[in-house]
Amino acid sequence: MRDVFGTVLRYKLWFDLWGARQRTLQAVLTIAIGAFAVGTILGAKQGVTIDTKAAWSTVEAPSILLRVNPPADDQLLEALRNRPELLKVDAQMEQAIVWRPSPDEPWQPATLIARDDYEQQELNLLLLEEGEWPFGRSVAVERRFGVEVGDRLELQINDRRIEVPVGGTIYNRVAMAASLGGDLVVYTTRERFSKMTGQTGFSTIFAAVDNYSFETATQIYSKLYNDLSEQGFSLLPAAFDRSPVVDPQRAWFEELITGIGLVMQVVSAIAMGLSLLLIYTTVTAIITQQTAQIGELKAIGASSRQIVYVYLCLVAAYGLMAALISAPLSVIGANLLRIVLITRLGLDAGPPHISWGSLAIQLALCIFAPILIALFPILRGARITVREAISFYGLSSTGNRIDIVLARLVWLSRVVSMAISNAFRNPSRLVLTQLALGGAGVTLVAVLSTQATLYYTSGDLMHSIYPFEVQLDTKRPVSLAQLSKAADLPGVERIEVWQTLSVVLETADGHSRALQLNGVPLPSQAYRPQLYAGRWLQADDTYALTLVESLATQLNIEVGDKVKIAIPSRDGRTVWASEREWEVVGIVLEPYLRNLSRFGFAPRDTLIEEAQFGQRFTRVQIQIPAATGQNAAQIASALRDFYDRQGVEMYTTMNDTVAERSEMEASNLDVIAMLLLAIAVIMAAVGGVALSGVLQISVLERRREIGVLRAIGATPRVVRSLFVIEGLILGWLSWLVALALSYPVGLLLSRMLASTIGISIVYQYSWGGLLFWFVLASVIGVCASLAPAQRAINANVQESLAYE
Amino acid sequence: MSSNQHTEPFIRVQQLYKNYQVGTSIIPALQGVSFTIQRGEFVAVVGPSGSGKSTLLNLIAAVDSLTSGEVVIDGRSIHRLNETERARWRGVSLGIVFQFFQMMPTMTLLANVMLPMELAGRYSPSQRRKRATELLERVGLGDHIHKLPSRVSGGQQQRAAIARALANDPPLILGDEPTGNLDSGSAEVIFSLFSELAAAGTTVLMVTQDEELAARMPRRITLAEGRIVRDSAEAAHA
Repeated sequence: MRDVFGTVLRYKLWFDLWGARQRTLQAVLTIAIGAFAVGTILGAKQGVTIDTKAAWSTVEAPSILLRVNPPADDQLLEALRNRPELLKVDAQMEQAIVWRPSPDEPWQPATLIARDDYEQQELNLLLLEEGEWPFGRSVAVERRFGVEVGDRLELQINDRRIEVPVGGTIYNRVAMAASLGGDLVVYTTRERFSKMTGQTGFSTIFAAVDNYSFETATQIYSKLYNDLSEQGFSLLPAAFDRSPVVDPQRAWFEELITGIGLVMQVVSAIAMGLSLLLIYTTVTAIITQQTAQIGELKAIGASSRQIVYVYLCLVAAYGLMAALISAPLSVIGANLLRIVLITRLGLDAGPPHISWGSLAIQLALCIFAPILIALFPILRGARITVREAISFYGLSSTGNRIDIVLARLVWLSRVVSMAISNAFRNPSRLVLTQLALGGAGVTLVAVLSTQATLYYTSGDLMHSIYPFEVQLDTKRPVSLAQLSKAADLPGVERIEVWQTLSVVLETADGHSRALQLNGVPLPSQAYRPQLYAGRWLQADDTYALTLVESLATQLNIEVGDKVKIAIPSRDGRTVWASEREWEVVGIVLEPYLRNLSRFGFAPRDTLIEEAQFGQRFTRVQIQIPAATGQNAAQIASALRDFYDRQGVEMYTTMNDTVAERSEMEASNLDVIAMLLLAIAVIMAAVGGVALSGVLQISVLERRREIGVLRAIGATPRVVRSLFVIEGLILGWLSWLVALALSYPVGLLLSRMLASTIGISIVYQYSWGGLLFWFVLASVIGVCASLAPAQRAINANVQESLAYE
Repeated sequence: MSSNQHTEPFIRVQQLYKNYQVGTSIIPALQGVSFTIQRGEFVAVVGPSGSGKSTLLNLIAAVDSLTSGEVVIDGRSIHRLNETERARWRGVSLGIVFQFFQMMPTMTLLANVMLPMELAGRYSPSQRRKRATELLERVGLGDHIHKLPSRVSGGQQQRAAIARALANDPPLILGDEPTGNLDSGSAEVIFSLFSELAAAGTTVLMVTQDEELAARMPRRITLAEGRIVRDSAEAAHA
């Protein structure tokens, strides 16, 4: 056998590869594109994981984060450093300020931070990106906010306006990046911080424990909490998720990365499936096309084993060439995608990276998968008897019921009926085509639905929950009369006054979280709850709570559960103004990222009573007439000025209006939305290649038929129409597949994603996406058929008639 | 009908050369073939395998390109037409019957016969159906019009192929060994149909290897190695 293969069959192999270059190119590209998609996605996923781990591994993240009041002095820090259960202790001074790059720009929120010694940091390490650490009057700023070394900034701190030079930029891996909607961080020296703010102590303390475990860290925290409380300090958890204990190995962006990873995994699995389908379709078509040759080989004495061997070698050669094309391209693609994602997270992308694991999968997909998949059609082909193989004459295929039905539709053009018949002629290939193209359509619409869900949840849903457009928070509790004055302003329809408090919630099983408890007047006009379970607050409720769904899920709280709410005291004489049991009567859905959604709602009057504030409030919700975007922001700005003139100090945020908050949430989800869109494009491309491949094969198989058609008078235009209509039919069929399956698949994907990144969603099916797929599938159908059609037109009629 | 029918032959083949290039070699298939055929003639083209019979037929049908020379049919030099014009010309002026029938496998016999009419844009849809039915009845397939080609015998398929060739009532029918794949009974039926057509004034040119069949035809052109070695019409004149 080796001798035979070494001579004649080797020539056949070479002829099949080189002699049929166009077919070889088609087969190689078909295998390569699926492998490229898989390699790119898996490679980027691994690269993102490596880069984020690398970025976080040198942060020296703490496991306990506390906000202390009054701020800690050096003596307290020293005492903490001497505690044996704490491995390392570090601290920073923090104050919310506002800044602007020049006097004609609006004020924007920022955080002013000072470390004791920037050269000797212990935890949450900051890295100097450019210039110098803060010194004297010179500050450093968080990078990528458009502020450069040498710029000057105007800061407003406690009503004082100060101009400061920027001497350095800092890479803070713990701060939320500008690209994710984070606020600027301004770094200064300890001395300068004290001069600017009047505060001398450290308001935030970080501590690391040895051999972190949640239980150990929680025990240490409890002891610390009791000791410091006894010394007259009030403590609030300061971590991103407002829990006092955090896993130092778990970065703040972990949930986002997991979400991105999940999307990438799901899609790479789909891409892999599609890729395998493409390979199967291509190989089957080639074998079918060579049936006569197989018969001839057998007729002259080739064994089934030899035939299997020669065709497996052919498939392996296709795979090898596909691997050579796709491997380098996917390495480039994976690195580009990795850099885009990592930069979007505000982190530094590492050096170019080759994911050997994904390359191995890709190579397996290129070489072994085609061989395995091809075995079935090859074995089937090799089993064919000589008589069956060479008894073929004339035009193949036998027609089916559809053809009979089409023949009876006398009003239907024969060209159209022929195109319809061709589309349905080979049922198994039709199924495979639809698995590829329909699969692409289903994925695309599901992905666009997931994107629509994310945007709806952070957009329209937020507007429907918060019908009052403007929300302002006072720095100190203010009387109802003072806040209500805004109601007489032009453009203000109605105001509603809330009390918001940072409290600590403790469950029956001892888990505690800090949360923002919103005291709302009942019935509230400014909040329309999206109920998840239980009920909304009623006018006669007292110690009743509703919690947001993500928090309730995390703490395993159900409707009817009793929880302890501790409200910090403001008089300084005691730590807590109130510590008592409340009943959870409902769970509501909040369109905020889990990191930010630690909300609860309680009857305002009961909350005021417990907080011992008297009739003083901290939040004003203002309804304005159907204002949107810029208008609302202008009205919010005018309201700020109004309150400022009234002597009511408001917190500065970037999000006075629901529109702004909605925009911030959307920007948080942009990375995932962008990724979903990129994936949708890849899937559409894979689907297009699949269709084009099928039509190319269709041309090969029906070459003689096309020759006959042309011999009996079909013009090039008719032949082109035949293929374009077939492409359109297959494209539209894929639309029907998407119509049937994209809703449940999108729902599943949205739920998986929401659960991974920790958001609550209300699923929105993308009808626009479905329409888009109709248009795209039509375009793909036409475009994918043009090349095969041209090939059919270019073929010599006489050669087509003689084609075998 | 052409105005110059009395002065010009219906088919004029002049100094026809056709070479095939295989690798670096050039293989001559036709070497200076010339002849004329009058309207309504029934002509057999015979010769051994590889003599250039099918090449000649393909060049007359304009489905292959010539190397040099000219083929004029009914006053038109068909190789000067572009691809679209050739397709249209074939659609209305020519009917081809192949050795392996070459019926569209997914169309019923009726649809197969209607197809050339639709491609040529001739007749109204109802007329097409009526005409196709009549043609199939004429070739004895009136009971099979709604059957797919795979459901009828080879002889029946070939009869349907003749009906398809007649769809647009072309003045010229070409047969490329139309009986070569049939049993003797079916071959006889097909031959009779061709004879009837010729008798009715249609020009019929049939390539065949069947000497016995060719002997029954009024004129035989014999090819060998790409050249005409005998034309019975010229022999008769001589």
